[in-house]
Amino acid sequence: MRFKRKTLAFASVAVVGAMLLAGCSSNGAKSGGGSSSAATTGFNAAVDKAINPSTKTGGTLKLLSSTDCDSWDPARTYYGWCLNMQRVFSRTLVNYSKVNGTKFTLAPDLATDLGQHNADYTEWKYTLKDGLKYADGTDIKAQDIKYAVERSYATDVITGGPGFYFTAIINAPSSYKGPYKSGDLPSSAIEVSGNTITFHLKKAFADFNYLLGLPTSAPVPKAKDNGANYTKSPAASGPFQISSYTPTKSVTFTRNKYWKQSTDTIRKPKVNEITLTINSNSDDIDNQLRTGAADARMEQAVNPTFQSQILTQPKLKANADNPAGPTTRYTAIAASVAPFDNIHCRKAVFYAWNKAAGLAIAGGAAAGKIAYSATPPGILGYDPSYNPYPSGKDNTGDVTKAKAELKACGKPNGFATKYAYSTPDPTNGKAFAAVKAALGRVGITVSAATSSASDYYSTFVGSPNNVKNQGLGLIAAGWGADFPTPYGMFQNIVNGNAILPQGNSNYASINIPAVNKVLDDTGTPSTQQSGEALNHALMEGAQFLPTRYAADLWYRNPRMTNVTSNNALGFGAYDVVNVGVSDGK
Amino acid sequence: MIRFIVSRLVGMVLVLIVVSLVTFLIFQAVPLLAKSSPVYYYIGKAPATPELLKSLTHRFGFDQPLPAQYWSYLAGFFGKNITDGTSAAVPCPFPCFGYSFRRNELVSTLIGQALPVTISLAVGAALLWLVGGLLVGTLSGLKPGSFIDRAGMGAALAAVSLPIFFTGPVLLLLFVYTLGVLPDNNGYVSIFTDPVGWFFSLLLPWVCLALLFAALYARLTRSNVLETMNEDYIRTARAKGLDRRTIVVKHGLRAALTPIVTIFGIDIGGLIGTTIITESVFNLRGLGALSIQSIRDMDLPVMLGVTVVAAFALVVANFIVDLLYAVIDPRVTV
Repeated sequence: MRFKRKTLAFASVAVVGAMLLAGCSSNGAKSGGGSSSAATTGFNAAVDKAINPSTKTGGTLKLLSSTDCDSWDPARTYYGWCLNMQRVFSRTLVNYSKVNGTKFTLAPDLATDLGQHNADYTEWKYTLKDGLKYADGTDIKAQDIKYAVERSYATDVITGGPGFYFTAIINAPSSYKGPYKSGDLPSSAIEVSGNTITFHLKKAFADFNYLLGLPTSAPVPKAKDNGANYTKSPAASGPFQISSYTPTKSVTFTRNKYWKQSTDTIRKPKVNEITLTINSNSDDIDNQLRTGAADARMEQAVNPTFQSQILTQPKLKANADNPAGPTTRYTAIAASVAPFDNIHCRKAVFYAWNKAAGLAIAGGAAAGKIAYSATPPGILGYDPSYNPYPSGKDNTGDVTKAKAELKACGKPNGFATKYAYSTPDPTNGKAFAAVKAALGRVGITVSAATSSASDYYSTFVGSPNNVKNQGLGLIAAGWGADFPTPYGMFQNIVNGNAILPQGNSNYASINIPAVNKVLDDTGTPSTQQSGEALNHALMEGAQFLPTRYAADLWYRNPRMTNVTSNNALGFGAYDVVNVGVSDGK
Repeated sequence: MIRFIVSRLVGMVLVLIVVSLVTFLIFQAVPLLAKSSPVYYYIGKAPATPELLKSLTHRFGFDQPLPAQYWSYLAGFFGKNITDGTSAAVPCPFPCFGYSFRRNELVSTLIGQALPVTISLAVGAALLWLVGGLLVGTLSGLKPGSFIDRAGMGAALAAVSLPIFFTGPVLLLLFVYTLGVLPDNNGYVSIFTDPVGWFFSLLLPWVCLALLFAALYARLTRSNVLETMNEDYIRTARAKGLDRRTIVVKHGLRAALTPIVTIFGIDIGGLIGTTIITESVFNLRGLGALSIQSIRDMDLPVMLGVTVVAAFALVVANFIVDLLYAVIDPRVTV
């Protein structure tokens, strides 16, 4: 086929035209980057401080999510983003005054102070402030907080939330099954006298205020409690109330006119209304963020398409934040599966692991930071300089050391094992391929053992017997702290005393006395030192192979004021209770 | 005729029972094969202590033998009181599809909320694809080999090749986010609260869904028209001097439409409960969205309810189509 001259002329004009247009659009993107508010905004500006400060009130904050909360009942919700949303309408005795950065601060919320405790932390007494009212004008009483905690004992009705942290330590009779079947807790468990409430603990708990920072103990008026249906219209003690809720569709929060700023040092609400719209089209949510039709996405990070646009376009990137929260992705190595009963075989895996490849597959720098040890940022004990199993300068693995460890465990030519992960997430499959390649370099042959996400944690890797019988030597896992202390992070996943026959979260049945000791010693306040002791003992046991501290990419509408990330409980979602809108709409 | 109706009704009931039984077994079998229990779907992240597992298993009736669980579901269809031993009994009138402990709602309530959305979507799209498909197919059939024919069939091929998860976001990008002529994708608006909003919230989903089906109807109409227009009786009608319009519409299309009616009924009945992708892309809370959500939540009563309703819609549609067949084609007796 011969090109006619005319065709060639058209073609070249078209090509040049296209190049010019492409140049124009990318120039446009670049030139839009610098603005006069560069000092207060910019990429990651909101991670550790509130940006765009403003006292302007009024308007509606428009939030989006692709799913509904697991529950709006403060005792039953467990998702990080839902704990963040609870700050909007549920107050507790003690709550976070600083949720950003990596060091968080608790402050009195409904209580007058951070509580008085006895010497051995088995008794905690709080006094309620005056003038506290629900959205219907009735008084908030200390009895309502006792009732709220009692509900967590009705485990067949109040399902799903972290109430087990309370029921494990409060001095309740072992036969107590909650207010629906067993009436009130005796005063020997929780004592209410006027506006004071005293918790009597059978297990000393020095970090009790962190438990109160969860919405689980938010006051519930008994008359308004309708059991499993309470999620449809929970009482509001905070500056907002749920004024309308259509499950899986939308939630509207309007102001609680009985909430008084003078009683609340933690929240400084600005808007009149907050709307949360649930949109099943996850990419459409990102579209609405990009065009400014909505303010923020609450339930998860932006999708990969929008993420790559954000990271490559400075104008968009200035409105994004990428905090690494208290979450560690790791591989649990089961000592019950040969040859991992020998610590040197386990250490061989530690040294051979290619952490850089794992991070790239998860999404690159925006997916987090490579983890050298178990404790993530935000948890006492975090120490980025502690790297007991260095995997080379570029974190691709230290093949020499791995081979030496293999020799020490009597398997100089390697061995075969299985890597368990859940389907259908395609990232997990790619991660497996990288693991196979990395460990294959030293002769460790890895085959896949998969299970669907719905069974993975409950009975596949959640059953120690199944782990042993199926030979699941390497188990892909991740965990975000329930609350930001070593106990909140590690209790369920590495304490040898927390192993369950099914639904077990200590997948590798890790049972290291030094680790158990720190976790069981709840009567001593957590310190950086005790956290480091836990971290070191855990790493020395060589069963917990941390790969990365996970981070999410969040995008904020530039009209949002006073906005900062909630890293304490929300894994980086914006702390919306304090956010205003600059245009007052 | 009466015998026909009665026998079809009996068959309908049998089909629905079999469908519900199969769904029930699949839901129960999956955890059993994994040596697990459906109770894990209700626990959330809390540690699954043996006492908690036992009390929840009892509350949801999973400790009963499988036949007893299924029978209580089936017998309760005509109305029962649902109690979980923790709060007041909830009356569940006929038709009772059970209670969703995940959503704290009667399944029939959830289906009742989802059905208008799906019906609006299905009926609107069906009208669009019927009109569009018939028009293009008839024009193509009347002028085979012409530019209209080639263009029409080419467009039909393109339309049926593009999946909804492609056409949907592309149309959204074009009309909502770039041109801004349609409102934000915030989901279904009831026709009773805002008819204009209802129309605009469904316009793009109708177009997307219709594009998929119109192609089939266009091609089918085209081949039927071609075949019919070559029949002897059409030549006779032309010879008699009838005008072209009467020949095509009254004599030609009438015969060509019979197979169209058959598949139209099946298609529209089959849409109830299966428009999952369309509803996800356009944020509509219809039966498709309800079914996918119930599968994600492993919420058995809702899954059973949606499956039975979808099967019912299809069976009823088939039934109506068979009746209509007798009306359209006098040679057929039922």
